[in-house]
Amino acid sequence: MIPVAMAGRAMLRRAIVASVFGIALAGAAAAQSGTGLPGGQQRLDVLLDNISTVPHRNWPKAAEAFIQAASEAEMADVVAVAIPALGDPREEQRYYALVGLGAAAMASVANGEALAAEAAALVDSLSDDDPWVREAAVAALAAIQPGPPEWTVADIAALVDDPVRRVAVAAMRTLERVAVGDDDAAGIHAMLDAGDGAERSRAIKVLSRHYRTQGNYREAEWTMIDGLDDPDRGVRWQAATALGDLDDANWSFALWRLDAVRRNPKEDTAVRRAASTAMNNILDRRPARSALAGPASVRTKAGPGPVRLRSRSGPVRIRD
Amino acid sequence: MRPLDATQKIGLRRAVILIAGTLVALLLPVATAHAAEPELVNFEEFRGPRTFTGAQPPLTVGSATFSGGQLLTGVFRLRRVNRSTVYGVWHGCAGCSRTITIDFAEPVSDVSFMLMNGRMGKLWFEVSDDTGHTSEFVLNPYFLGGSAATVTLPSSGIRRIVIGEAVRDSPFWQFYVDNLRYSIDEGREYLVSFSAFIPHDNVPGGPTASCLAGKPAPPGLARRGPPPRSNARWLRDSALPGQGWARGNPVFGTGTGSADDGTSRKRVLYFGGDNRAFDPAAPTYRVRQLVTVIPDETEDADGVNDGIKAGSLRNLAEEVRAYAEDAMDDGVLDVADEDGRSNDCRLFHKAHLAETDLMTVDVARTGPKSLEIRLQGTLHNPLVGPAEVLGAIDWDFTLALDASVEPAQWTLNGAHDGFPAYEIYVNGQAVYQHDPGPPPYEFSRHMRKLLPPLDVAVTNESGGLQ
Repeated sequence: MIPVAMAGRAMLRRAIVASVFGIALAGAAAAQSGTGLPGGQQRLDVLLDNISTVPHRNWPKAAEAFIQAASEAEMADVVAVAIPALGDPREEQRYYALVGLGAAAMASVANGEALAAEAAALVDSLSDDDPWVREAAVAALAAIQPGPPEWTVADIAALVDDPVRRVAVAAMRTLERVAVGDDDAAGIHAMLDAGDGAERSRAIKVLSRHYRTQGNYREAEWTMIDGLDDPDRGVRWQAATALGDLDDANWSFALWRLDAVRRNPKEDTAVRRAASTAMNNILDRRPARSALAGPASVRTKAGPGPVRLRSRSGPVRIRD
Repeated sequence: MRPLDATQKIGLRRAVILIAGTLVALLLPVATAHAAEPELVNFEEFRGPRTFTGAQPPLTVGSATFSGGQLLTGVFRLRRVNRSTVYGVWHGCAGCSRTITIDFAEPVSDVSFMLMNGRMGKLWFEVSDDTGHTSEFVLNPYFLGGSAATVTLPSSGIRRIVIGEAVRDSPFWQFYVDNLRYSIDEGREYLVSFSAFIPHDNVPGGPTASCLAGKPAPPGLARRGPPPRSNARWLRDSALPGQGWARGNPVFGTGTGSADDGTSRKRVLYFGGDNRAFDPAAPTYRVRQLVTVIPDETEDADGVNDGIKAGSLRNLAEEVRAYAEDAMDDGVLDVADEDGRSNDCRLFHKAHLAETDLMTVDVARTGPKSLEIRLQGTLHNPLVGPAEVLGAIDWDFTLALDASVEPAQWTLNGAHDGFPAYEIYVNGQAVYQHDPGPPPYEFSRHMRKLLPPLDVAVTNESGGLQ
């Protein structure tokens, strides 16, 4: 019995050593196949495929390796691998193909411009069953330089009502980069009555751009001025910032409202600072006083910093 | 029925008052049985000079430690409101700071204190605590009524309070505190605090996060306002055709430069960081989630029994501020780079107030005295570049708290992006800290970690709460 037991122990030991050695070899092989070497030295298709084929615990490293390689590659190389992968039945392949396209587009302006040629494939992915894929698709569209093509706006706007909040938020973020049409703007205008402050804030940002593109400054201004009274601080901040970006604001009234926000001691500090910056922007764009019909409604103190109106409580309080 | 005469009416009234008083006396102890005994710090055991002589070392009274100023007794300016011993700061006091900081050895709640203005002006004061709550209020000059007020903080789990004037650009300051009251959280409540922050003062944006300097002026409009403060800052622009203040318009150029004719120039954007180390009481962060939980279901008395103290859940995100690369001419992003004008691709360029609607805190009861807290979220920063939806700060932690043993035990699992720094505290005790590495940060090495997947996994880290 004793020799048999000893032989058993020896066999067990060999088995353990062999297992450890095998695991080490497998790890080395995995590293060689794309998880360890710089991305530029690996074929992108192998790296993308590794995300689905490596042992489960290694997939994050495989994904990182692919993203790194994609962001260092030319867009044409990434497109050659990623666009066919958008038809892959494995959702992680479709997702990381889109992330790779986005990463490459973020890495250089030239790549971002080249991605515009693949917008049709990206739009197809907007209707993917997997919400993560839809989110990545809309993000990849946002990465197109200088912005997503106009014809994609309707498809992106349709995602604003996506049942998955992440996707809807990503769609709104992308719409911030394009000029939406009147039909889509009407739908987004309805979001100003949404119960959620973040939704109203994003709607204000998109509408601000829309009205500016349309040259409808009056509508934009009143939308923003209404936003200054919103109960949500994010909406008020966005409204103040957007008001400062308008090229043709009704100077006196906008300044009066922004000044009221700036001087309101109960207002959030960030909102007050945004109002101060917006006032500076408006004053910078304002025609010289001699060209105005009447005197300026606010008194400014010369100085390179934020405007400082007369106030017993001192200049605008900025937390730094 | 015969009407009561005057004597009988008085007797009846007295009887009613007596019965009501007895009832109140009987019910009051029942109503306050669960309230912790409040602590009072009124400095009456100390005696200080009548005028400032110099800042003292931090003064510890009970669980509270005061720093930044000194003790004084019978201050002349406070004779209308407080003739006893107080703790104060003054601009003429050697070593005194602009703020009074109160640190607590244990988390406290129900904090209130008396704040007194020592200056001649009507001034705004700001009181902030480490749970993210800040309040501002005005006090009259010291010689008028309304120069003192009792400040009450609504937060619980407080470890630090900072008191100061809201406007801190004046060379003068003088104020005092006294009668600090607080209740120590006796271990029944746990303040869970998660923050992500940028340890350095700046982070460069991605290659596609840039602004365009030298945009042409809109037709018919001209820049008004003063020239830039420092000519050195604009020196590089003068080398560009049609650019620079000396030759015309600093914001829009002279009108000869435009995005189309090749004379305008792209500038990399830098984001302002938090410039701090790990600190449970740090006032700055990129994103913060706070929740006070009550593991003991018998104490979870808000009627919901969900483990969350009512009103304690907060998702916070700070403003992201981007600066054009000329702000880095002196090597740092600081207050000197705040020119108060946006979208001009000079110094401060653009801000974004991040929305918190993709941040969630879920608390699930796993036993009579144990909870599981899931802190999860995504924070977009559109200033990163056009694909900020992908390049967002992402985290997903599950923290298990077991108060059935002494000391209470915690276990943490989850994952997060490899950038920026992440920290989790329970009642101020560090549970998890992730350092992204030393600055300077680069897009290729650091910011890229904001892209999927989650880079850092946290598996079964555990410990005990002191």
